[in-house]
Amino acid sequence: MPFRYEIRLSGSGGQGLILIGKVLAEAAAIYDGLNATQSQSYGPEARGGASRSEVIISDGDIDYPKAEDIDLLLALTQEACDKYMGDLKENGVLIVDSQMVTKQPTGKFKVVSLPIIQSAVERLGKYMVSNIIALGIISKISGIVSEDAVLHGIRARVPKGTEDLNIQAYNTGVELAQKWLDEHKETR
Amino acid sequence: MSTISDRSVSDLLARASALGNHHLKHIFNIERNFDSLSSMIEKNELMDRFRFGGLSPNPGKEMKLIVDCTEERSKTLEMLGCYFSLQFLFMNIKALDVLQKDLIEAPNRYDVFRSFVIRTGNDFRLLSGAYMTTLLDIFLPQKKRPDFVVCGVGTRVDQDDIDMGVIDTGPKHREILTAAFGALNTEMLKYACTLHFHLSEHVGGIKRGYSASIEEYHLLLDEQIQDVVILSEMLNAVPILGNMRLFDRFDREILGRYFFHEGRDNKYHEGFLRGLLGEIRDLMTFEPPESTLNPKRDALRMLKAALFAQRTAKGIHGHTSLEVLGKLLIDDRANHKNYQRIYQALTFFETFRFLYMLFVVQEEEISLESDENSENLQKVALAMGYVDKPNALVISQLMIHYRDHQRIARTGVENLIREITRHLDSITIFFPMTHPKVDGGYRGNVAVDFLKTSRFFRGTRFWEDIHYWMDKDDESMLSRFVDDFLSLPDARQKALVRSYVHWSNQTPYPILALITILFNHRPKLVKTSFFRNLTDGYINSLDSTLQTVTRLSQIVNYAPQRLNDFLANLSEEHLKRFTEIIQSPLWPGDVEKCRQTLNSLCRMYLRSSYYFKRFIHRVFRNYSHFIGYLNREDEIRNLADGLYRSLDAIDTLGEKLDTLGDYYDFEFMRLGVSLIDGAKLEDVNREFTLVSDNYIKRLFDYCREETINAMKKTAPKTQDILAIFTAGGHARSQAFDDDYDLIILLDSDDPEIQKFCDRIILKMNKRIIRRSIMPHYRFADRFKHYVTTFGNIREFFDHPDDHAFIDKSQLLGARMIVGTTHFYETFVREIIQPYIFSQRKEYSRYLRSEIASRQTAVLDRQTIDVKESPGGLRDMENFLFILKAQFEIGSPISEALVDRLSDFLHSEKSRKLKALFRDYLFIKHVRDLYRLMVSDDDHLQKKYLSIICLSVAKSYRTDVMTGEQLFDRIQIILRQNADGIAEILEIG
Repeated sequence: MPFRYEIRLSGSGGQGLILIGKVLAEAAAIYDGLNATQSQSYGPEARGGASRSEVIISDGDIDYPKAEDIDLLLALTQEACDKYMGDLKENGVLIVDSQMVTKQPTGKFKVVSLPIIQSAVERLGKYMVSNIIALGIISKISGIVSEDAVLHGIRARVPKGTEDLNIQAYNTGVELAQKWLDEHKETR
Repeated sequence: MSTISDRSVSDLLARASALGNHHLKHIFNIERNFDSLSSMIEKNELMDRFRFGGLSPNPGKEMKLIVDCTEERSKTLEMLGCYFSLQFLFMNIKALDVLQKDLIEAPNRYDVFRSFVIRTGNDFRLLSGAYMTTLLDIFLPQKKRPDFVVCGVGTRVDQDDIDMGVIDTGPKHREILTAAFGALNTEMLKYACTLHFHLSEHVGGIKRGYSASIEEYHLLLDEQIQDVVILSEMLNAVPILGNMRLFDRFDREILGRYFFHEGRDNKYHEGFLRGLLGEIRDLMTFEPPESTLNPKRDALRMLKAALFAQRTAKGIHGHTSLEVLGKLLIDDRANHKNYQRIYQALTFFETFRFLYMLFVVQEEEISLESDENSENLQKVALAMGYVDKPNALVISQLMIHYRDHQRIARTGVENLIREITRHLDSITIFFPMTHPKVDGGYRGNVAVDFLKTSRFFRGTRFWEDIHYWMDKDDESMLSRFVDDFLSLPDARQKALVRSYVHWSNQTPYPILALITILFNHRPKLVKTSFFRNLTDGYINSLDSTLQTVTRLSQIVNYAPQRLNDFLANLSEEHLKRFTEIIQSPLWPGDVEKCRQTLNSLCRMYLRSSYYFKRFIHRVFRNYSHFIGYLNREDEIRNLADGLYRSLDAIDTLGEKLDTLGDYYDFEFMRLGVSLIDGAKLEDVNREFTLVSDNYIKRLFDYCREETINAMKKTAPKTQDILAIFTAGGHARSQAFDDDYDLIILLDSDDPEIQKFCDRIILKMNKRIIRRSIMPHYRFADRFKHYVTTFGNIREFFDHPDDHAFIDKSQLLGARMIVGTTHFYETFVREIIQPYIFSQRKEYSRYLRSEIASRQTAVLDRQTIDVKESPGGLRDMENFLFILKAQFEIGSPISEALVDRLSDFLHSEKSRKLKALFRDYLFIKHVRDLYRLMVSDDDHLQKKYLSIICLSVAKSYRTDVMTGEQLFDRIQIILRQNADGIAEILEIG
């Protein structure tokens, strides 16, 4: 039976969630030979300030692109976390920014709380790359797409001249996730 | 690579590598599959039927050939994807080449841009349409195919994604369509671009899928106008493939009703216009940041919204904004000039955006702060035909033109909005309610009917036309609304209030505006249960979701004055709740700045006394667009300086006087905020005194000039015979006094001159009162004139009553603001010297007995009167008057005076005097903060003192005391001061 992995990236406008949705989907579909779809918030929802992007990855056909039983939820705002955590499936993964999401939910899912925005600002001097750090974390925690494919995907989606900075951000995310995995080995 | 057009493909890849990184996907596809594709074509001897060296005029036909020569589906899809990538790159390279050629040859670059945008859009639609048709033929063979029509609903030139709307005949066959479009979507993501089916997703329907039926559109849209973004997308629909009859039915039943139809029900059209105008208003009032460009936000969105509004108002059946504009340019000759402006802006921004996305990245926001981007923008500039000039690099030229076109776009849209609003006014369903006196008077209940009618429009954000009629001076609509509301039984009123509150759920502004209009026009209503319920219900209905916070924050941009009125009038409880709602920060960006401003304004009102609020309210009522400068003291200072400097350039005296008042208010607010934020008292006092003196001097000049202008004969000369003194706090160079003690002295008994001077002061008086400061004229009550002559004073002091010592203190403490040195010397010689200094013993006796009489007063445990308590401000001032009289020093109370006085005392008393004065200033500081933050009252209540403790701590750089600690400290100081004064004066 083909697998279907559903990812929802949520937060507010300007956080670059749509971009990382595209990178993930293209990495899976073009470079890893899987099937993928990507959809995003639009119009009324986006004008209200919220942002949401969904990626579905499968090795079979994807007949419907809306995420309904989420495997991995990234929430970069408290509101997004509160709003969407109910759609997270049992044993799913919730990744949150530790600064923006202070009230962490509990349930039958794994919560990965990491200083995403803080790392972007302090380590790389640009909060604009917070999204790519988050992508590194997603990639490492989920393992759903190969690192090589994601790096290809990043290069193919960022402006010329900013590739190195973005790859550095991706590596920062991978590093944060690795540290988290090491620290939570026993509870996994 | 194979032998087929090897070279052309290599050249293509080399050129494409200079484009944005998103082209890597296509390069990757070609490098991976081109060999297989070319061998397959060679093997099938189809070489002469393919155009590999350039853009194919018939890509659908060539794709069909590929399908025909492969049997395995995965192979077919790979080959089709590779072909698409090839054609896609050829298309973009060709577009650039033609643009370059046209820019050199054509005289008008806007025409070149227009052709470029149209051609590129058409080429992309042809290629992507052919690709989708071929793929659908694979995934949904004709014989299995149910009825449907696929419509393009987005911008044709967008290559990043394709927005589609799929219309079907109902849920029966939807599963087949969903599976086919799912496969199409996956394939498109790999080789072309993402498909988005927002329209169908939004319409929803009984069964999930990528499509929706006309019946489902009816279900969603018939009873309520939906979000304008959905409607705009829907009205953009252009059929690409499928059953055209189905589209015709959709057009007739759904799309047609959003267009204006003379003499028919136009509520759908009105709803669409209200949505568009709300969107345009938000965009127009947004101040674009200087550090980023965003062509969609900066211009395209508003341009397109305005054009689409005109399209439905004038019944133009064009699909793209350029098509609509083209028709308007021909048909609407009266606005031709404005449409030309819009044409320039639209073609410029469409081209800029397309080229940026082509060369750099498929993102809307362009940061100007990164070095990489200036290199990237240079490519865009060169492609747009800019050439380096000795004094301007291409990138500078581009940036200047970008901002120029932004202005052109705004002007064009502003003009269009006026026309659209006029059109809305003429067709609105609310007309009978906004004009209740027309046609024999409105027969229904305006309050009830308005809500009932507006339910259909719930969620739209443009209600300014209705607010205009509500806010109108004749109050015809407002009166009718209020009267009709109050005529309802209590229970019905409550229910109606609830319904209004519910109606405002998604759009908080209309009810906020209604509450503010009621505040302003019907202040007596504020105490009624109707008003309380409305405000209470409204505030409680607000939540802290991103959408609500965003909507509330946006009001800062488009209705700052209304927002300021609203916040200034809210009760403390409501203001606290409102402030709590907007606490969650949004992601750094445009709206977050507005949220921060709103938060600062709320907090400023929250921490201000009623007295200080009036200044803030007035400043931002007159200069509402400066609310954004709230936390930038330097900017506020610059604005105030600018106002002051502009006085000389203003033509009329009336305007000069208004601006002078605004200058005073601005500075009062700035310095008040500064003191609350912990500035040093002496710094604030110094600045305030300068402002206050400037104000009085200018006020006198302008009022004098106005009086002279109004006189028919020559005005008397007053240079050395008239002076204005301030007494009390202003004389002591102390800020934030709630009254203005003025002494107007005239060294002449000529009744004509006195009358002339009285007139000047009368005018000054009117102006000062407008600042919420009460002017007091020390001798006016006694002599029945604003102006007091030396003769009046002499007569009074020659026959003094028991209170004459108070008047003497006023004169002794007075500071001259307007007047000559000659006058001052005369004043000292003829008044101060003979009546105060020469009578110092008697004068001091009165003051000493007043101080002594207070010694026995018992301090209250909950309240301190910092002015009249023993050791309070009054005692300290009287004490200093005694010393001044004793040592014959005429200057007002200040640190300099204390230094001079201490020179006359022996060292112990001198030290004591300085310590007393320091404590006096501390008490004064506390009183000023209390006045600004709690209440304009000298009786400080223990329970409220905690409010000012943080400001006290900031200013003195100490730990924050509790209110109780501060209260105790003040009491100790007062006792010490009372003892200290008694000790130095040797009382008791």
